[in-house]
Amino acid sequence: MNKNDMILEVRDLTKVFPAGKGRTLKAVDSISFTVNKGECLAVIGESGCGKSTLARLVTGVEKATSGSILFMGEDVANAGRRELKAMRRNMQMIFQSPVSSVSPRMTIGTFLLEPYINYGICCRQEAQERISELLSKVRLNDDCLRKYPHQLSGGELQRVCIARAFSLDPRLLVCDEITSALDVSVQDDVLRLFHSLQTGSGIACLFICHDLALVSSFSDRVMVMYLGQTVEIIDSKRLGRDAVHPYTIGLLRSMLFVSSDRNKPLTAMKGELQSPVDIPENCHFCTRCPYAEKRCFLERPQLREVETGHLAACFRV
Amino acid sequence: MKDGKNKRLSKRAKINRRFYIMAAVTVIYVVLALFADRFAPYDPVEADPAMSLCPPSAEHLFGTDKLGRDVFSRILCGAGTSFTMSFIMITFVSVLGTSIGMLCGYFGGTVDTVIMRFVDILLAFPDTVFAIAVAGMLGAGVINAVIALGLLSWTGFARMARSLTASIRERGFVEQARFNGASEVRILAKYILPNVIPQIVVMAAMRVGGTMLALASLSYLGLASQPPTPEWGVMVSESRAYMQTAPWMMIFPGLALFITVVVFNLFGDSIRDYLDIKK
Repeated sequence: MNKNDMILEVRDLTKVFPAGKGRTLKAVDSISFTVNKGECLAVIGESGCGKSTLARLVTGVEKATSGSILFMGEDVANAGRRELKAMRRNMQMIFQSPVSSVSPRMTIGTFLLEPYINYGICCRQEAQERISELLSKVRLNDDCLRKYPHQLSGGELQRVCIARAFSLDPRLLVCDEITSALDVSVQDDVLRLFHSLQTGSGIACLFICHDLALVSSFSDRVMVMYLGQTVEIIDSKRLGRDAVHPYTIGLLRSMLFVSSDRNKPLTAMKGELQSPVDIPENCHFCTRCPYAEKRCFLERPQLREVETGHLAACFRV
Repeated sequence: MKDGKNKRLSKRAKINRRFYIMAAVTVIYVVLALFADRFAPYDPVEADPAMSLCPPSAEHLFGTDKLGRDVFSRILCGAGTSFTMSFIMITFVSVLGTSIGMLCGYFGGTVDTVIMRFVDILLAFPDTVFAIAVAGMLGAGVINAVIALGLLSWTGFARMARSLTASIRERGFVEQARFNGASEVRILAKYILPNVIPQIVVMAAMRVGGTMLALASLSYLGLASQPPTPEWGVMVSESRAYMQTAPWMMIFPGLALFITVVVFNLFGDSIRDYLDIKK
């Protein structure tokens, strides 16, 4: 892998939150990964596994406890306010809830104009033209510019947020469950729109999601997280055939497709999640793993290369 | 669907109508207060011993006091000064209190803690006691009474602005604003302030009435306006001795105070609904 192709390089990233009474919660536990130019890396995991914290760390919203985040060669983890502002010119984020992303007293037009003004990109008139162009790309018309956020539907508003994220032509987009706050009927629509914009522009993307089925269809690689740890990183195309980690396999087995073979049983994973507070240094999945051995409860498996570009953290590999 | 839309529209229309009516009432009130000398049928300070303690009649609508002064004229003229004073004080204090509150709420930290504890101390003072203390130090008078009330009432705005800011700061759109490249100052001015202002305006409108009431009670105690100035508190105070023989001397200034507070409270209420873009 060429070093110049790397947009984002995360190494041993850890975030520990105090959980009261001297206990700690490791939301993100020494995670390493890279995102290349134009690539879409999906991060998958159930709620509470640290996906959103990861997004907030990568974008500098939250400060990391340890580890490094290099974005286009610059250190995000130790960036000051001014450096972050400069970095965000090239790194944008789309949030989970579009409704809370726009100030209720700001018209959509003002909202979309903000990045152009704050980064001094172009004059107002040119910005207006660019905004119209962007809006037509997300299939909204200029009427919505005069509207307030509560006058738009969730799907429309999320499309506005997507347009805004693309307005600065960033190098990296971090998407934190961008469809989970939307109605199921428009999720697919918004997602497809986003995907076409993303591939069309060649912008790299860190796509956080809890729906494996949704994401495997359009991402390049998938990173599976479990309680703050990376358990597997694999090409999306090979996901169905070559996944080796019991958790990934469990996720795949519990997926329901319209085209699924009805005779094949859907299997839900058994067992409960471990408490993430003061979690021991072991394989965090050991409490639910059907193959768990004594060793899994005592030691933490390291991420190992199974094939080129395919990494998994399991003693069985 | 269409029905629902109509219903919502008519609700909005109702709110707008109520706001326009209340605004008109308030404007009439303010005009009456400010240009009272043009409307007043008699000179509010000119005594006419022959007409002492006349009950309400066609000639003297609200009767006369012991010096034969027309109560109606005195009530009209009494509104002007206390309204102007209250309005100026509230305007000044709401801007100051809101700025302090927003800065505290947004940046937090030690300064915030210190200022808010100071606010707590000020809130622990009953305003009358505080005004007595100020009057004791600076002397009795309307200006001093207004200063005393102002020294206390900024805290209400500061508290309100602080708690609003602290909760708005955590909302998604502020985080989003940072991705829009907005500076801290811009976030405060363009993202937080518009969401704070409606509540502050409502509070300010309501406080004008309350401040006029407070001024009247200070005048009643002899700490603000002094006789023979036509002022409601002074009038009520003068009427004490005649409560049984000439109740109109007390009833009408009291009623004027009551109406003042009601008008400004209703006006504040209608502003709240009017500024609520979601309704």
